[in-house]
Amino acid sequence: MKKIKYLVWLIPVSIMMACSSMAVDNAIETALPSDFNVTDYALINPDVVSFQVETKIKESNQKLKDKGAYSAADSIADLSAFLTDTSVIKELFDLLGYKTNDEAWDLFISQADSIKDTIKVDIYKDFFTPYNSLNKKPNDDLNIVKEELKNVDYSLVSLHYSMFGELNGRAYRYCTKDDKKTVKQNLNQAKVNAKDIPDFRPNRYCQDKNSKINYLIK
Amino acid sequence: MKLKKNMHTMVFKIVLLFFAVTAFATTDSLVQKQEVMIQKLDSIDNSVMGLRLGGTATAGFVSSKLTSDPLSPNSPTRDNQAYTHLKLRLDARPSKETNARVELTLHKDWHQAQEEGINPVIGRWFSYDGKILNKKVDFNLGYMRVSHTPLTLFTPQTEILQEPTIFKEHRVDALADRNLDTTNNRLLQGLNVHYNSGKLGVLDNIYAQATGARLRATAKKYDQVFFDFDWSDRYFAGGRTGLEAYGAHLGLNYVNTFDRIRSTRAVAGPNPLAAYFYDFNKVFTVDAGFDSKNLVSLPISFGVDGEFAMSNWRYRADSLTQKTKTHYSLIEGISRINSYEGESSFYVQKTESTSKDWKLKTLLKEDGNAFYVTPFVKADLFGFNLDLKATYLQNDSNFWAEMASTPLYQRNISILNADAFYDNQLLDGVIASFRSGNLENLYFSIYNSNVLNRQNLMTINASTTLESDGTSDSRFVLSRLYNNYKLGHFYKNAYNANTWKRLEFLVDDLDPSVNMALPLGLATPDRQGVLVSLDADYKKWFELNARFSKIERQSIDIDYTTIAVGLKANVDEIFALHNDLNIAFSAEEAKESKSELKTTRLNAGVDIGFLSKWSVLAGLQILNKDFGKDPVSFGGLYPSPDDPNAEVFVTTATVQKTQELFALGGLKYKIAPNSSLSLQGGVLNNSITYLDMIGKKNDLDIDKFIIMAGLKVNF
Repeated sequence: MKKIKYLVWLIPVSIMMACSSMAVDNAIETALPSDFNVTDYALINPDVVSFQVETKIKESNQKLKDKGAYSAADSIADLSAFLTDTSVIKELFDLLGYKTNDEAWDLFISQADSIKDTIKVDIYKDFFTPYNSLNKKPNDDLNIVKEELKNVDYSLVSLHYSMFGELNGRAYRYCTKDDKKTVKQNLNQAKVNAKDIPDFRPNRYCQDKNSKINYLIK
Repeated sequence: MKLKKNMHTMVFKIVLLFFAVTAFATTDSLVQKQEVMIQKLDSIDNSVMGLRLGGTATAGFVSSKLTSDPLSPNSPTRDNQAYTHLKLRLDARPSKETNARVELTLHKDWHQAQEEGINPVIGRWFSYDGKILNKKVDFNLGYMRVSHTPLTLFTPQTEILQEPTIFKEHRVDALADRNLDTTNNRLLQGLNVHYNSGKLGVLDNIYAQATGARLRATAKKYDQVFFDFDWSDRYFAGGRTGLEAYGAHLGLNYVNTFDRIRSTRAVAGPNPLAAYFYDFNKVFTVDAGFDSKNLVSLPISFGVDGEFAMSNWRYRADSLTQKTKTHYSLIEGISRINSYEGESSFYVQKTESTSKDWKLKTLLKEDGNAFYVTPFVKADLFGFNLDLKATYLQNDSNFWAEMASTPLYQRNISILNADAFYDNQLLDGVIASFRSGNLENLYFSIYNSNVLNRQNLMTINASTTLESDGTSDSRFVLSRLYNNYKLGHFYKNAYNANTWKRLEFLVDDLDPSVNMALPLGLATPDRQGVLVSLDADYKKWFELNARFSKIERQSIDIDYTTIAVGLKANVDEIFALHNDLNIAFSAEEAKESKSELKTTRLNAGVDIGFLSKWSVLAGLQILNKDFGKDPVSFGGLYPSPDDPNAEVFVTTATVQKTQELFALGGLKYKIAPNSSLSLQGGVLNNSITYLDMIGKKNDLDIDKFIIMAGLKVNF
């Protein structure tokens, strides 16, 4: 014991000799499923991609409005010119990943019309307004969307799955033969958390390429 | 016949006398006895609590008369110093174990006494030291002199074999003006704690030592009028531990020297410099040794010492840079994949914000190893005392141990006749580099108290640059001086306790006449070779020293050879005289293989004591430097002969050799131990051989005739 007391003098020296490092984890590299494929995820969830396009257009429109160069009347005229250009709108619908055939477009129009008649909500207008760039002709609006689609940040698309998609029960890949057993039935596979957001974890889902039906991955 | 008889008698008398004196040869002289007594009294005093006052008072006169051909006719030629210098030592002992020491210096220069002003007392030493916890722990706080091992914390010294006493006294005085001494300890300001366990079972000792100190990174701070603490400070922390048993020891040593990054950032302000540069140096070593003397006591002992070191050196730049931070957040949006009507969903949004942030970048990094091993033999047989050592060392070119390497001696300080000015434009460079020599720098120092004025008080204007042109001095300069008719203490001294950072060393030019092969001691990077040293004496009658070294510089394939011999005859010991009588001689030659640079140093010294209190001391030292194939060229820009508008560089002088001679003799009267009255006179010549513009050989002689008188009293 007495000798241990003598060795206490060595402690400051050993402290001086010691050194340590603490590496900070990279926030983006959170866990994704091993078979996660960002291209498939983007095709299955086109809204994740189109949200980025919407945000960019919204920002540039806001800048224009902030400068005061564009009046409210001008923007209404600009928007109506865009919404009435059917060929542009049809191509946009295709671009955003919704159209697989002509029937889909017809279905969309009929649904939009019926809702407009019954609850006075203009789905058509709500759907396409975010893609209208102010002070641009309808064709240019479409080109801007095309350009922005090329510039999509796929790291944000991946991040969407880990930050929200997984919790939201979004399908992240196409189903294989073995997967198609349990259909995703929205809420009965989910817990509802304190903020009233359904939480599908730890379940994960895939989507059938043809039927667009989501299945539980076993 | 009668003559023959007389001869016989005389021979008989001499032999008898010889035996008689040898019989008393071991008797200490009266002076030595006195000194021992004084020391004993001191040690009694040292354990008495309370306040104790001691010190040295010196009154002196130095006059140096300069003659040299290129000297301007208007130049002052005589440098006179007449001074009273008081070193006051105050020791306060609050307990038997600890001691607080303050040393003060008072200096009055009589030769400029008409410039009367307030002459301040300066504090030159502040320390609190002690031996505590049953004398097992030594500590020093404040000023201290500490060394660990030759590759960690150490000071390489200038070794001059059998240096004449008269010279050595001057060298020691010059060092003492800078608080330095002739040991391998390094002068530091900080805290040192040293623990020794003493005998513990089979172990003879366990030791542990920790030392921390503040170093100064630059010689001058922003301003002399403000608090003396800023980012240019550098820090040192070191520790060692080890154990000793069976005559052997094993130790681990670590030192770290670093700059303060965070505090620099904190005071950098809104407009910092483009970059701040930092130097980091760490050395870890293992030292081991064995000495048979510690195991058995025999007339012959042998042993070995060695150390292996690993160094780590980093040069970093810290700058304030624009940094972009990315944030990811979830924001609400409408999803229309399940129904065109849409439902609420969340999406990832990336936002970026820019901020200014400090970024530390490593510009250079080098790691290196070094080691040395020193086997030795010591013998004490039939009156012969012998100490033979051989060292093999091998140091990488990347090795760097800052705290072990910087020597105290720094060259080319003009000490005597510093106010002289020369009038030969072609020799400007030569005079700037050679107006003083190694001998002047080794043995002289001038301590002055001068009036602070615009020339010696550094000022700074509103921007943070030091001004030298005088036209844009600080607007406060006059107000500062207005009520500031004070005397400040100044040195002209070639010794310095600063440590060189690695890059400072690379740009610094070393004086080849001091330790040419190992200018940074055993820690000199890029060296490999052998050093042999022999110190022997016979009954203290005769002393012999010999040094030999062959050191190679691996990276550029050159080698250094040093040979030195010293001899001393202590005639007073041989004949058991009560007065000192000895004569000493030494010679040293150092050579470098590639440029054939060669330095030769010769010494002769004699100490003669008579009438018990009087002594005559004399010394002669000659130093020749031959720059060989690599002479030192000086020149300047001159109008081109072809184009009057253009300038060309013209070599005006090429220095091939220098020959320095210092002869000094003096008479000393001993009033009491360490108190004396002395009168000395001598010559200091510096002869520089150079080729002029047209290649003609010339000599430039700078000769100084020196007279010194002094009264030194110890109290």
